[in-house]
Amino acid sequence: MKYALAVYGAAGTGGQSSQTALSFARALLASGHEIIRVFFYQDGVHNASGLISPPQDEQNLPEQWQNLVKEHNIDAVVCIAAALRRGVVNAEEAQRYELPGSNLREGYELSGLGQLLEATVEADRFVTFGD
Amino acid sequence: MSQSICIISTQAPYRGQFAKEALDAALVSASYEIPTSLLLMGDGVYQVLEGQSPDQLGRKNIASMFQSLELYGIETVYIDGESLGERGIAPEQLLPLYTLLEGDAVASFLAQQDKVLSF
Amino acid sequence: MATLHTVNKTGQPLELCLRALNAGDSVLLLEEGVYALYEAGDVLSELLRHVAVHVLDADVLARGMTNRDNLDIDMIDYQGFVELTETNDKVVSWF
Repeated sequence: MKYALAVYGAAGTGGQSSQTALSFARALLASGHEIIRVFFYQDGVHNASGLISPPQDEQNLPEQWQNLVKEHNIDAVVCIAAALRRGVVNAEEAQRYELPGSNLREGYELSGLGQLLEATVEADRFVTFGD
Repeated sequence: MSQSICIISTQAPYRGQFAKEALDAALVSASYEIPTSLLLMGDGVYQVLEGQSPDQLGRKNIASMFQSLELYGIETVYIDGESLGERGIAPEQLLPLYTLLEGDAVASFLAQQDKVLSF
Repeated sequence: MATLHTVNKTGQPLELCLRALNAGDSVLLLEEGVYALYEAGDVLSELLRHVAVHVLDADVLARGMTNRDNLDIDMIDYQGFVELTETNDKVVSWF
């Protein structure tokens, strides 16, 4: 079946939803399902930040997400409004808003909420991971 | 035939960006001509309490954002009656844009939806 | 249209979920929601009266918990979570 996921949390935002979503996504793929899109919204946008550096003896969730996205060629979309609000930007947005740098990880696309709604309707199943 | 989407909003209006981001999702959904409904439950019912003036918080008035729903064809906001009762709020204290769902009506309303987004 | 309800906290999310249930729905307690096992209050008993309730094993084990009160709750892994999303028509998340 086709799945779309929405992720609202990240390591450091208080909840566990990013980890849960990642484990669920792995289990989906292991069962032969297709993930048509992962949409990172609210605090979930921090998962796409390349500036998060947890201590060596802790897991690096943003890195694990990126590995999954790359390995399975997952359409990973980060809500642009939520990302700008929280300091997650690509080079283009950094230039537009004259910010001192950019941090969006490779493999992610900044886009609008339309991408969430479109995936919700297209997917057979839509699952929200709230924080 | 387009699927129906229900957006459930359960957080208080000025808690983070939950209320605003749920409203944004509802507006975008309706602008895609997806049959869209918005359901407020729990602390989410505080979002439509009349008389909000959040100027001193430096925040935009969440209640007034609800007024724009109509422009996108969302003519009513569904509200869980039990959540109002628990908070001692009378329906007259809310923006006049709602449909109350009492008792089992919440469950049967949700059963009719194709997809549900929670905030 | 059967629905899978995921609940990631006790308190408001669990209470709202109870109000949204229809016959044939399923509930999955995960993350902090698994504490419902030790808070076996009215809401959980009410849930158990109406629908099948599951808990996610990773979250139960992480917290050093067990189904000590022998509640009629089924412990599942992520594979089981995936299966619940297959057998239900949609998923509603309460958090």
